[in-house]
Amino acid sequence: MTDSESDDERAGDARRSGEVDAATLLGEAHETFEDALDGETAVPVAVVGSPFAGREFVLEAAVERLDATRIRFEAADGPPTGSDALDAVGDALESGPVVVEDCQHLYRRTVGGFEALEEFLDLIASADVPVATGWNRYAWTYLAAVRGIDRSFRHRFDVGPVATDRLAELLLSRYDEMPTFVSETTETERPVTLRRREVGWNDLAITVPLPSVTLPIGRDSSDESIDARDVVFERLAAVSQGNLGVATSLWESLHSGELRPSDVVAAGGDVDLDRDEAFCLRIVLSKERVAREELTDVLGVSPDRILGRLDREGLVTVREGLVRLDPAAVPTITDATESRRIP
Amino acid sequence: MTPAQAAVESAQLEVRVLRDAVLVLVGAYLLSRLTSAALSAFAERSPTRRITIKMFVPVTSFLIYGVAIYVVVDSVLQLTTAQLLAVSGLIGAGIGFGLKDLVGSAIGGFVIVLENTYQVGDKVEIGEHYGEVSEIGLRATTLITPDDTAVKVPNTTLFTDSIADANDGAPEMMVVVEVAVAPDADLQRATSVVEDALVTSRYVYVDDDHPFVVLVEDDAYYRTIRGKAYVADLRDEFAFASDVTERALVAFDEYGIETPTVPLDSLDDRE
Repeated sequence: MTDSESDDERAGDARRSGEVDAATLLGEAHETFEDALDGETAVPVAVVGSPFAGREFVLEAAVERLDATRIRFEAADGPPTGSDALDAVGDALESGPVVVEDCQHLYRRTVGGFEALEEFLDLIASADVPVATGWNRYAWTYLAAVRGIDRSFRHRFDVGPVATDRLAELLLSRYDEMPTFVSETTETERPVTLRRREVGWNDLAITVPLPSVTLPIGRDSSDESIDARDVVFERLAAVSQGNLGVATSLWESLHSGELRPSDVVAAGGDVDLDRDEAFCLRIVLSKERVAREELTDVLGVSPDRILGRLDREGLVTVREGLVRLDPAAVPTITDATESRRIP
Repeated sequence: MTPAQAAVESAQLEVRVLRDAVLVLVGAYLLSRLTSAALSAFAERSPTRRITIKMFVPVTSFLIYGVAIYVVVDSVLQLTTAQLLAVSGLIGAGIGFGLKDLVGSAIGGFVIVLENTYQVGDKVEIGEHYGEVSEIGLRATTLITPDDTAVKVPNTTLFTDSIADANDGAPEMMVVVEVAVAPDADLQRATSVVEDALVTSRYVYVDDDHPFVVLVEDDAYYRTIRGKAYVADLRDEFAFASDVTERALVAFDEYGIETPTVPLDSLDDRE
């Protein structure tokens, strides 16, 4: 297995059969999702989710329910104008329901880079069979703003965050070997300590040292172990924002030996990015996998130096001409690009 | 106490009073600079609230100087009512004869801060000057022009000239980019190219509240395609315009869209 395959495997753990279902990922919208697929009138459906959040699993449920043909757009193909991929969609639409994955690869952020997307939207607009499509959330938001793609879909379903207890259940059931959950204060506990806490208003945040008082009264070791485990998973859910693939990737790197809540941090958290690096990351975040050649087109210059740094910082992996998002770095990349307000 | 001793003591007292007054004013100046630097540094940490935080820079400066003047007049100089009246008279005469511009500017500064006419960080055009407001002082507003020149515009200009504020306190601003094509160029294709160049730029900021638009204008020898879109940070105004223009022109070349040439008859006219 190559490193890139390993990354996919880690993120893909979340969508292995029997572990998590569409109902968990869609929440209250699951019933509406099934009704939309079963409806007498064929309407295109969009399933929108963050990278590695389990969008594929929802589409798998759609494939089973509709007995549909499954088509997936690949990054390496580039914009599939007049390519086999779009022809395959056209052919499949003539024979029955279709589920199309990774539609974020239908555009390229360049002049003339939306032609394939427009062609695809025309195709599904005239289809008289059910069509379910999967979109990266960041690509969807961008395309809704610049191309109004949201108007082409009557139903949009968001893959939501997984609740903390469900996340813990899914991750703990997957491994025989358990880490030792350790409370932050067990070994060096003092009655009064200074801790830096984040104080924020809207998107402003500063850390200030605040005294923290801990009285070790009425505790036993088993309580501590349970508390520490709960705190670890609460932190895991908070850092990953309930994203199952991100949480799985973080867990993979942590789940042996001693584990403290403070060990749960997103990859590349302290990296300082310039505008070009942030823009490059936004493209990768929106596409999940991008051909290096596409990045050259988008940036207008060779992306080698930028990609080299991002790779070293553990934010992306670059293998065989393909740039892949590191699941454990998704929270960092999201924060870095959102704070710069890159659409 | 002899008269000589009394005179020496009085002189010492006056020197001390003068020294205290100077110390208070210097302290106010240092505190004002320190507060401005701290607020500016804090503002740079938040792209979305940058302008809002910078709005407090002149407000705190005015407050600090106001308090310092009050302290000097009330506590340090300890002027009696008669002395205060005499000083007021002198100030009135000074304003009447030579300081009216200075006082007018100071009042203008207060009005700018109180009325929130523009804020530190805004892109404004005052009279013939265009640039980013870097400081609102007691006497003048400092603009940093696109050529990185600091222009001091007296605050009295507020009362005599119109002021255009490009972003009005928001961190983002609309930028207009113009590209010309030949009259017989494929206009639909050219419009599509400019639209793509706008929305694919690394500097663009687009959502429901910040839409983009592309317009076409007809002229005698060419047609102008005018694209309007927002940048997330107003400091990217010129980088955005340059990026869009450059990529649009490259695409025009690729698609065979002709750009206008100077008509021969206009050259003849010049001769």
